Amino acid sequence: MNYELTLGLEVHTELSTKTKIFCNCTTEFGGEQNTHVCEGCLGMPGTLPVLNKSVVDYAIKTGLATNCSITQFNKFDRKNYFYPDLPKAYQISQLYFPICQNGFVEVNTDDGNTKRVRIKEIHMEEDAGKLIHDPWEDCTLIDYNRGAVPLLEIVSEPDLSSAQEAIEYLEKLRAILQYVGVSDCKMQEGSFRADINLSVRPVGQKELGVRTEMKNMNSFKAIARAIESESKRQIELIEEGKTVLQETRRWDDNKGKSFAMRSKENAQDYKYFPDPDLPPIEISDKQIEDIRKSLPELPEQKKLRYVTQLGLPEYDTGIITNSVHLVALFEKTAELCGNPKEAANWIMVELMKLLNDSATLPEDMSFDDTSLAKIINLLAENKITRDTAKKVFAKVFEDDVDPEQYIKDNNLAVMTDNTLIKSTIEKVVADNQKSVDEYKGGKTQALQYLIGQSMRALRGQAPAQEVTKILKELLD
Amino acid sequence: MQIENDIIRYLEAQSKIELSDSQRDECKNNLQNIVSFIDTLSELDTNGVQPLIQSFPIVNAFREDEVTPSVDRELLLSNAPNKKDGYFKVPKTVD
Amino acid sequence: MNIDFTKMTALELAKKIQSGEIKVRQAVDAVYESIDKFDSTYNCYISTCKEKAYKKADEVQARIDSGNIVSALAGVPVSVKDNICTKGIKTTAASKMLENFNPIYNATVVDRMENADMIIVGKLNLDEFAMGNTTETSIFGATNNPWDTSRVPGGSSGGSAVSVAVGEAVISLGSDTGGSISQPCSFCGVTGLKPTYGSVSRHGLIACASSLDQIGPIAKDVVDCAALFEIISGKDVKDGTSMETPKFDYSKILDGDAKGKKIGIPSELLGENIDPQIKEAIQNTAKEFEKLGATVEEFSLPIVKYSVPAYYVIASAEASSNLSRYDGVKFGYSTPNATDLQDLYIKSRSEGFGMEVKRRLLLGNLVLSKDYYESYYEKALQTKRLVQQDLLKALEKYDMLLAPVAPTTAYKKDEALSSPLDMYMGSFCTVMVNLAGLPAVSVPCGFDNNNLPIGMQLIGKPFDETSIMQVAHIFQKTTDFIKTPELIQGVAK
Ligand SMILES: [Mg+2]
Ligand SMILES: [Zn+2]
Repeated sequence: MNYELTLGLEVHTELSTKTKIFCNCTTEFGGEQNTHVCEGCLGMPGTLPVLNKSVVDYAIKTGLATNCSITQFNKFDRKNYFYPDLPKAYQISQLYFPICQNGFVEVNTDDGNTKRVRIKEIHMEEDAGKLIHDPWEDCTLIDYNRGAVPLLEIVSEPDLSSAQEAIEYLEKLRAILQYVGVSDCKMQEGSFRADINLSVRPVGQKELGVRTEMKNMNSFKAIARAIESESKRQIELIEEGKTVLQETRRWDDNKGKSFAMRSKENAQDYKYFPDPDLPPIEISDKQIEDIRKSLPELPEQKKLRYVTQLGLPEYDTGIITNSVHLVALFEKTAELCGNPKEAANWIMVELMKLLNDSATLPEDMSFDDTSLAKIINLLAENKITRDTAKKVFAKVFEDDVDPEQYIKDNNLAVMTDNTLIKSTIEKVVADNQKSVDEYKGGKTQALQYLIGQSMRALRGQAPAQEVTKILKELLD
Repeated sequence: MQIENDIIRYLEAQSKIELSDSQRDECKNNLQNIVSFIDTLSELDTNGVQPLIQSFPIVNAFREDEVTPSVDRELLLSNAPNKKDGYFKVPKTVD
Repeated sequence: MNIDFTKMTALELAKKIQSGEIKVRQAVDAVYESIDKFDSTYNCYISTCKEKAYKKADEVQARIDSGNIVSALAGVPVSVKDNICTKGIKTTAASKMLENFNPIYNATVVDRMENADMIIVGKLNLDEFAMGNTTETSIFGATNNPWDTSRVPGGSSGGSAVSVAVGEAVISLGSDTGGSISQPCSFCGVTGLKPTYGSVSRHGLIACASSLDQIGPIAKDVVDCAALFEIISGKDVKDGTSMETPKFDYSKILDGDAKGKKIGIPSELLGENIDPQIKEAIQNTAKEFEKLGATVEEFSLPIVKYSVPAYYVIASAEASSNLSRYDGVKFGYSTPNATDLQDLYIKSRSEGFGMEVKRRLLLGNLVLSKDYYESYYEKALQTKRLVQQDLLKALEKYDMLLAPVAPTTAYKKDEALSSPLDMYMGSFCTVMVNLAGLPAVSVPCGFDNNNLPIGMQLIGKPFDETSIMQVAHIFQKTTDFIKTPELIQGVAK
């Protein structure tokens, strides 16, 4: 039997405001345990939450960038449950009136079309602290530095139907969040996380299957694996005539398996109710319009402009516009070298290779954003060869060297001294009498060999045309 | 509504408290009285009445997004019953 | 010098301090002497903070000596209910849960009093987590009524009211969630103000029910209350529910007038569940107001009937959530013998909380649970709106409302605790004030056959503390109900 997947995602993204959602502690990542904590975010008796204004602005930005309507009168609710990472034993969240509703994000599907993934709602809430298992003692240690860092929870409708679509959606969403500047979306720092709601059903069946919720994936790859694994698990259960339980499961990426969380947590009654400590938020039309006007160009708009105005290939623009960091590099490079196509080409070919080979993410690139343009310009002016350009770029990527200085220090510029070139080639000719003879005997391949040898002797720094010209003169 | 033992036990679980048997009996009685009393609210027609949360229509109580120093960790942990190496400490949590 | 706080108001003391007649240290000495003499009888205080108090006294004295008088109550010792956080001074909420809790911050009201050069001398007894109206559920033992020590002082601000009544304090702070200032004032024969919701910051007040809690002054008379209210009130950025209001000026209440004022009495609050002697006292008060030129009439306020059930639903729901943070992990009592995390939670909370708190946690969890949310919690919030609507409507017709503070005078000890529902009914006259968020001043207005004080309350329009206090002031000026009980000196501890 054939099965189809129904997927919805709940994305949690930490906002890059300066301070936490309800107190003035810094949101800076890292820092020694429990040093970014005050009486407020520890929930000490008598303390009260006061909302960070920027969180509302960030939420509106995100909502508008994902085509949501803004709930102009919204408020906070308490979600009550006991867990050591939650200092007040309730999370301040939004259940009844989330700040953004009914939006969508467009993603590319497997078959090359685009698809609208509807966004049910986006709500503001506070993050939890971090639990660390103590390896020396049978206990758990708590660090509340991340506690009460502002989060947006972005809840999609179950509009996705494959792991690949889910990843496309997440990449697009991440790009949007980064474009509007509300989050750095670093999965490895937990500032971009997704829970998966997944069910399967035989093709043709009308009603949806029983869905499970999966948590604890910390990379896109893990998410893809978790989707594959969970859909397989559910299909197998159905095939065996067993039932899929509605439950929350925890993904273990090392084991490549998910595990059911304790049933207690599944039967949780969160006893949501409006938080009496936090007055409602009223958002004016003007505030929405002001924020709308301040929004930067979003991925879809950028993509369209790159294709129509700059004539870039659609595939390339898709890749570049999915990362705010690649966009920044591309735009800077294109501006400085005046050649967008060349800039895009370098990013798509050389940079992608370097990123891949070193398993680096675009956000972790650390070289000066003018370097690539400098290299492209030197190449265009024939001051370096393409080979050299690639080598220099690799060095730039690795050590953030200044290309011009590096070329000078290592003597990598194209040779302009024709006598030196000629004398070097003469030596190559003299040392390779066999090939010379073969060439003279009519074997044209021998010329290629001699060009190669000459280039090598010239350390690739002579213009290839010049080398060919001189060789031919010498041989003919 | 009728307050039965299983409701009391459910509420104990929700509240993370455990009553002794005699406390539970007493509580069941008290709660039954109180709940019957609360049930009189059903006489009141509240159709279409907006719930009132804060007494007065106050909105947009915001704070500026400016960092102030957090609390010194020593002080922060000074009331903690169990701590270790700058962490709060609890028995092992299981997933 | 012999300073007897049963015979002196805070403002009278302040004048003497500021003129140099009394030194700040002498005033502080007098408080502690009085505590030494009487607290073993009345048990008002949970703790004192002598060292800090004398240090502050010397600072304040130096300022006064240099002619720098920062407030009307500069130099005056003040005692504080022990659910209001004081940095470095244990704040217990009268619970085993917080027996050793040492706040690392001050409540905003505490900062404001210190900035006004008042001297904090100690922390006062209350019902555990302010849940109750008898001050019997404290782990530090019950506070005793100054007029009859076999009776309760009311609550939950029982320690505050008694300390003022017996001169163990000249002025103090209480908190009110459903009558917790007004009712003990009435049981003890002192004066208190429950301010409009949002006019005093709750930052640092250990939450009972967030949407109902307000801090307010308790003192010998209305003018003292007004002077302290001026110091503690006003918008605070640390409390999002505190409101921007015009600065309150206590001196304005001195030149108020009852002439031409229209005062309404909800006839439901003179109904059959009100003690006849109290009814009579209220009617006499009404006559007094008429003599002063006001018009007084009864009107019907049927919604009152529903205010008590709605109140207990809301108060318990909010409290159950507010008290979830006491889990044995970050602060407060933690059981020494937990086997696992759940055990830590359950034992810490079961051992740390008393019975009335537990009862309210259960009730709160019931009314918030999925199946009952709509029929109980949401219903109660709707009722809250109706209560407010009807009261505001009445306050369009009348300048203020007059009512008894409690259906009875002080009960015998253990009487109320044996029937929680009866105890809840004791809040019949006050909870509507909290539900509606209105200000109310509680003023002594008579004595019953047992020589127990009777209190009346004037309920005002939102943020109009001035009008009710003006009228209450004239009443106090023209009548003679501020009396001192016969004090019983205790055996020194
Ligand atoms: Mg959430
Ligand atoms: Zn903080």
